[in-house]
Amino acid sequence: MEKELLSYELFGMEFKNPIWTASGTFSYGLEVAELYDLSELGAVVVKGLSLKPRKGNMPQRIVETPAGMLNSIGLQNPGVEYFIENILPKLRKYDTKIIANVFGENEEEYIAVSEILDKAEGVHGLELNVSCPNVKKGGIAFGSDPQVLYDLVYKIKKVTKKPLLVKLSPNVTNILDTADACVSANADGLVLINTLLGVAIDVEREKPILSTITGGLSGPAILPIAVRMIWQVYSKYGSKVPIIGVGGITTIQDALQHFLAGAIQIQVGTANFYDPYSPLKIKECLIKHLRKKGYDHFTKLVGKAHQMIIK
Amino acid sequence: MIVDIKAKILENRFISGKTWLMRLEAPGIAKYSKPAQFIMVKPTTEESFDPLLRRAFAIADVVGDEVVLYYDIHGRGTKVLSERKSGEYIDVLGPLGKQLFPEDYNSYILVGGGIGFAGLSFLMKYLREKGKKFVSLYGARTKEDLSMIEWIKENGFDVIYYTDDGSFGRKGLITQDLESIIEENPGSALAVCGPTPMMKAVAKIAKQKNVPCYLSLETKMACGIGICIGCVVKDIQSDNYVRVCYEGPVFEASEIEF
Repeated sequence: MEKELLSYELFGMEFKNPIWTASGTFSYGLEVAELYDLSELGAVVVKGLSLKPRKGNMPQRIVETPAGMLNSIGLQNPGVEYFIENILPKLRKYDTKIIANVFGENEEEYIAVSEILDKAEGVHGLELNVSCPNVKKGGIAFGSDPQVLYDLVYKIKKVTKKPLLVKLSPNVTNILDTADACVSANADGLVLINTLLGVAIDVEREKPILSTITGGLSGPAILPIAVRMIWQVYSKYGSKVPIIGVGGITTIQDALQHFLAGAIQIQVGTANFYDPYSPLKIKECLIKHLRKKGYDHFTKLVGKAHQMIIK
Repeated sequence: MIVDIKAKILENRFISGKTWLMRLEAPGIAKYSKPAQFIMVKPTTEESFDPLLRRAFAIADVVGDEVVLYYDIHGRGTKVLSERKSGEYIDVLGPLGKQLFPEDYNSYILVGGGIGFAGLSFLMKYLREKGKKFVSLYGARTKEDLSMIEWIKENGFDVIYYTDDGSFGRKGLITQDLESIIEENPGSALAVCGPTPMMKAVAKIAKQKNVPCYLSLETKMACGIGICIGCVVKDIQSDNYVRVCYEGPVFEASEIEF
């Protein structure tokens, strides 16, 4: 029954259900595998991988904010080679799709990591994190300059046959500018959205709480922003460009908003922190919702909220 | 074994100072808990996501099927927690924490500061059960902040108390007699939990006296299960950040920057 309602072919492979876990909110999956079987998930997007190991930022790295949190982990990771040798063999035992999140400090690093992951058995797709500062371009994020982003995606497409998703930064004036750049460069899908930049200040000590001052805002607080950006991109491209919705999904109602706005798959992120079982709970509730509505497949929901207003 | 349950609140009452006591009916957690382990508690009811995150609390005691917490009201989360009523159910995940106090010493010196003593009280019971020798030191600013006195008396433990203002026990810092206590108890390991300045002071003395010093750490945590990578401290040997929730919460003082 679950398979009938929830499985979907995308990027030439079958996702058993549309519930993924978001990069940076699930480590490399193995910690949660102590709690439940990862085969229950449509996909696991692993924590961002770079060419060399990265130590990450000094504490304090997280702070709770109204209905959300800021994080500044600093992309701590053991490096792509370590991941492939030591973590991936354990992870690929699970019957789920493994999506590797990729980042670099410059274009060459992005390409190098992508090339390595292209050859890695058990990695089903790549998700580009383009919210990193581009050192060569004065630290402006790759994801905020459409031309830079186009070049990056275009070049990475040349080095990998695996599906290439781009996780867009919401810290831009118009999300369609960067979405267009990715579509023109033949990205296979768009992941909407990454975290929003924020600052929290300790009013007693009268200084910023995070060691890096700014951090990425996530959690229920960002839900309407994610839904809005999915809405905009779906309005332009419809089902031609697969949208993976992420941002503020904590309950089934939130997940439904993502689907109705146009997401074909969704990622659960920060909700894993306060309830690691939340992706499974959302999946169960999705099945119930589809039955209640009399839908024979979850894709009946996708983009449906647009129907009422298309002229 | 980690379980995710809705625990019934059996009691939630003010003790003294900033401290509250919460007793939870949580047999699955009670059965598997060990000293220095903690649980993640969602302060709000099911429908609310503000404050969003669960809070980490040391398991202060286990009595049959019950898990006992002592917590200070520090901010919004603990304020909301203090408003939860007996008979309500609350989301609890645990027991968590993998690296705990080593058990291979014959005797221990326990040093607990403020609410940090709740990170050692379960160890006291455990050591007594195991027939191990231990000395316990408990310090706080004033008598009001020595919120576990009642528990200590009920359980029949001998503890040396310190207050900054002399309102109870010895006047002064918890570290003032530590060197002589270490000398009087050769072969002991220190087990420490409390505010960072106190732990630093204890670790310094331990280093001078060349005795092992195990710290039970508490840092800001979003998840408690190793997936947010937020609660880190620096491991000196590898020069990498390690997770307090997953690689800890207990670390030998000389191995980490804290």
